[in-house]
Amino acid sequence: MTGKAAQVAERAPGVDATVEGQIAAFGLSGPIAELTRGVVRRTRLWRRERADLARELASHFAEGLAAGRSEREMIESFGDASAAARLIRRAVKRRRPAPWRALALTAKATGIAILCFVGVFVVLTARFMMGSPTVTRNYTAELNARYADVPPETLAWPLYVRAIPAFTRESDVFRSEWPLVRSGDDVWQTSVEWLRANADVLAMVREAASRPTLGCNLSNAYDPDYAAAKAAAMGEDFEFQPPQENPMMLNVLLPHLGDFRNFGRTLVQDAIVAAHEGDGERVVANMVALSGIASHAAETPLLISSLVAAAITSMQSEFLRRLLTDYPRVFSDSDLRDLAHLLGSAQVEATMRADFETERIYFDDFMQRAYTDNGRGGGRLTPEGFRLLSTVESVSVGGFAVTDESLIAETALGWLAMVAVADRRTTLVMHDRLMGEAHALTTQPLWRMDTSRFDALVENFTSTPLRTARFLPVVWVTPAVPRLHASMEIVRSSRDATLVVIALELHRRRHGAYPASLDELVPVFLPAVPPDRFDGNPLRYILRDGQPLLYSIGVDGIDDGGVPPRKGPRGVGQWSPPAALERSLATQLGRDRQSGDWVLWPTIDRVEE
Amino acid sequence: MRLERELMRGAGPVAVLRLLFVRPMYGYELVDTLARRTEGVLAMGQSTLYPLLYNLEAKGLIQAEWREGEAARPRKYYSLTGAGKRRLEADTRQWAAMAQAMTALGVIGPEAKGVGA
Repeated sequence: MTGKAAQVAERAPGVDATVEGQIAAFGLSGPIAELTRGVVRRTRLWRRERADLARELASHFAEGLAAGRSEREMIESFGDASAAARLIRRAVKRRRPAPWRALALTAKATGIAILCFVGVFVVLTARFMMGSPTVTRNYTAELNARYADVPPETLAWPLYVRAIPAFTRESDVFRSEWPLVRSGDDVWQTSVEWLRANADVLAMVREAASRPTLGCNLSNAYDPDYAAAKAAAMGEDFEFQPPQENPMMLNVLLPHLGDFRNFGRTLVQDAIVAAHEGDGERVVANMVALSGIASHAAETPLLISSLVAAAITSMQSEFLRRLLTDYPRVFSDSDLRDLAHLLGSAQVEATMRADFETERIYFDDFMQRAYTDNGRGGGRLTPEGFRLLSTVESVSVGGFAVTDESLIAETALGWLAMVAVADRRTTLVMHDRLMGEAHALTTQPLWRMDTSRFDALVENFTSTPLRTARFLPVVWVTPAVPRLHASMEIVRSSRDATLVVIALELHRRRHGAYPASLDELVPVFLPAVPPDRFDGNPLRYILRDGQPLLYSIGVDGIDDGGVPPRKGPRGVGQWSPPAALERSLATQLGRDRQSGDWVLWPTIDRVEE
Repeated sequence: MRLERELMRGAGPVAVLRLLFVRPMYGYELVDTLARRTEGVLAMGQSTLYPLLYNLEAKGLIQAEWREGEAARPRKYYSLTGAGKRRLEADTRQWAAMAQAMTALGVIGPEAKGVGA
């Protein structure tokens, strides 16, 4: 046979290049033809391959029959037709061209991968969608229960609400300058007139501040009386919004905190006016009221409330020093002693504490609404939790930001979030550790504050995007603990300085001159010389030409002899972690703002920008 | 006696290669020769032989060619390739070593008589 003939035979064997044609060409019929046909059909090979196989099997049977073997004998010796078809198919496929085999392998692997993915997707999505949280605690109800046994007529909140309209009118734009308006300023007279016209309202605020309990219920809706008073003052219609029975702590409204800051600024401005008018009694009354308002702000056990309380105490201390600089004679000795006792009281001390433990309330409430609970501390993220995370934080999964609360987003990415975010127990353990480190940090004075353990823990769960996603709820609630604690310590430092200034003034009145050293104030005017919170040494004091200078070395930790920073606020400046401070000081702007002392008394005006 | 499947899987390919070493053969001829020369021990049906042949062909150890006109009907002849010859040499050495080892152990040879051979 020539090469061309053989090629033709290979491509079109026999007379007819079909299975039936091949079987017929070898004269097969009956069961043996059926066997050939069945085996070839079961192989599911390509048409040309099937024809070639049929030809070979037919040839085989024809040879056997020609050799004298019976049809039955040939069929019996063939073996298992199904197994033969399967093995032949496998073997013939191995003979196919390499590119085809590579493609087939790739398609098969891709198919398996897709199937696996779909399987995992279906299982995890079903697991995710079936998860539901078990809300067992009503934190707002528990917190509001504190007021159940308090007689309503002794609560401060109703009085504050009555005072609020006077502070709500938008036309009083000059109040935004308070409490920095001094005699001679453009709005001084307008301010004096407003304060005089609203003397009864301020008296009401002082009365409210003197009450032991605030009594403002936590809710996700505005107190109807409060909202109605606000709406009326702004000329708007009041629309009652019914509160939820068990609102999420995250949705609790704390509008009174803004009002308290407003009250505080007004009382300080009124104290400045009173001091200018020589009304020491009103000055003291306002200072006492500030402590009451700060305590009321701190009554809500949340970090934001603590910060407002501390801000009011800070304002109280700072402006008392200013008044003692500008109007020392307005205070009687008795006033000064009373103010010293007030500033040193546990009531004021309580307003300078960043209690991070209270943040657990927020977190525990979030967890009970976001995770399933297996009763043993375990659980997984639920669709509700996914929605909560999506609303409070832009959840980024695989670079796709999820802010959509739709079912599509939940279905497509919720299961991924469930897998990526740590389970309930792990999340709670991590949050416990974080709060433990935060608490330990807040027990240290500023000059010994070691943030390394806290920083290391934060680094531990934010080291990679995956770790951040894993502990997303913890990341979400992590406050800037070192900075917050530093803020509280700086407020405490300001309070301490005011106590020293009162003692200095009392010393001057008794002895006709300021002491040469702060040690001379102890124990008659001061129980002990307070420390400079930036290095732990006593606050710095210099007597030059009979004039006192009280100062702290400030954020840079260097004693500049009482020279303030060249630019920026006249106060302490922004505390930063040591490394950040070093970087800041490396720039000229940072040096101008940070390199210098914190002059506490006599108070100085803002240094030139 | 016919071989267990596992033994057949090892012995079948080398037996086919050995037969094709002598000359090209077609399928029925291979089945018939194997059965006759091994007294049925290596007898295999088409369901075993053809997958075996296609596997050897896929590995490049044998090649196939349809021949017409030499006999009463077309036959597909299989013959050894160069790679097939090298594989046969290697397999032969291994089988010889195996036979030697089995003889030494008394699995085959004169000492195996008491065991069941």
